[in-house]
Amino acid sequence: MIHLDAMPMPVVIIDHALNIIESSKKTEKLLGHAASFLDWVDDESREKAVRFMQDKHSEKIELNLVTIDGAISLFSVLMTWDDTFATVALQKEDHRLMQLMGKVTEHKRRLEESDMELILKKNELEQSLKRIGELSTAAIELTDEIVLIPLFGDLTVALIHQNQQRILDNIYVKNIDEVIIDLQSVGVMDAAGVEEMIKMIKSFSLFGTACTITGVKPEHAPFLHQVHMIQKLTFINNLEDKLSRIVY
Amino acid sequence: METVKNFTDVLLDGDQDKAWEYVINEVDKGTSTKDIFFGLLTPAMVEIGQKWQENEISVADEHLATTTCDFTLARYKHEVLLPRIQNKPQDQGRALFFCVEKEEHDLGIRMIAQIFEENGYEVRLMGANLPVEFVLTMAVKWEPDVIGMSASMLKQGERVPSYIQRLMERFEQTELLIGGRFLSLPDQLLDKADDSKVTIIQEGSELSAWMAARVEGGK
Repeated sequence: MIHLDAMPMPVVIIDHALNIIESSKKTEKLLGHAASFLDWVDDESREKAVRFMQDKHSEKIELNLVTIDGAISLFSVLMTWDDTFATVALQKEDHRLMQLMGKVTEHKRRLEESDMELILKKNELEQSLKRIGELSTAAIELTDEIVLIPLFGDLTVALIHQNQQRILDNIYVKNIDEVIIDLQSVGVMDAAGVEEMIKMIKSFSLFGTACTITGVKPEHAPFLHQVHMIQKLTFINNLEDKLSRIVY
Repeated sequence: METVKNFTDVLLDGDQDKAWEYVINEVDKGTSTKDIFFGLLTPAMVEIGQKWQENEISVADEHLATTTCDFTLARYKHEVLLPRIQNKPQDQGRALFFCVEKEEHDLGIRMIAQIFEENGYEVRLMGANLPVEFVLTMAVKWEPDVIGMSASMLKQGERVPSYIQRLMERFEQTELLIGGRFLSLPDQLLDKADDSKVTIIQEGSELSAWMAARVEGGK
């Protein structure tokens, strides 16, 4: 008979009650010394071991064994049975698999982390964006009666909504006669945004405040045709002229 | 249930398209997310674990089935859940979910995360194997109202009490939810009536009850 230590993999001889009769050096190095094979089996695999080794002499099962360093590892357990004993070979299954799974988990973790970071950054950005929106429509008082509102960015419903209340309060409280809206720094505008701006201008007229629009760019023109309908609204092409009239 | 048995076989075959057919068929019948997750996906995965215990399948088969189920869940989120919650307010609070350290069984917590999303929560899912330090860092930054943790293996379940302690010390107002297969194992020692802020969820019905109570209690 070949000596157990000569076997290229961990081997152990057990009896039908799963008592260990003999184990190879490789086995003891991997799993330590034990009286019963069950001592090596993880709690949650024990029932399976009893069923398929003790009650029924299977030839192959998979079991979770606890290695000498306390780690739970998956093994393929190969058995040959005779009347009194079984020769059991243990094949560690999970080494490569676990390495691979470990890598996959690592990647997954990294993705989840960057995902989380992105969410937090997104929150920050939303805050900044709101703030920028508010700052984009400063109300500059040229005189006690005239306010200049240079709009920056894209003329959208959101931009008007963010600022409308503040501007209206300002005009009401300070009794402003005329508002100049400068569109020079407006990039894109859309129909809904323009409509919202018109509503705001109509609100100005309720306070008796006149409105002048300046800085219209060629690409804005198609959107602004409807704005002509409003009373107390004028367009000028040059803010400088207007300002010089105010100053002198 | 015949459907569960067939679905289990489909998962073991790794047939993603067929698995999706089963799920979308339930969706079309008007079955709720909870009933699909707890009545189809979960029993199928339990059955697969049982088959390993019965020596009918190998761990490799189990991995294939898990991946297939995971894919089905991801597809459910994108094709069913997200369109359903689009334009609905996420105003029920923030909920953070994860599996405790060394725990790789994250299908359950993925399902829970989706259920919370559907119920109007803002959800962050941190996935499997999350050391407590990561949870603390994330919770400090993100300020969740609810933290849910899961463990499946008994050995990993033993870590849960220390997670509860660390989190309760730091976040007194945060609700903690504990779930996972380890709770059903005879040897687990988690004290059931720990604290009013800690709730143990073993059944889908317990989750529904908890959510309903939270809505009633005005968060």
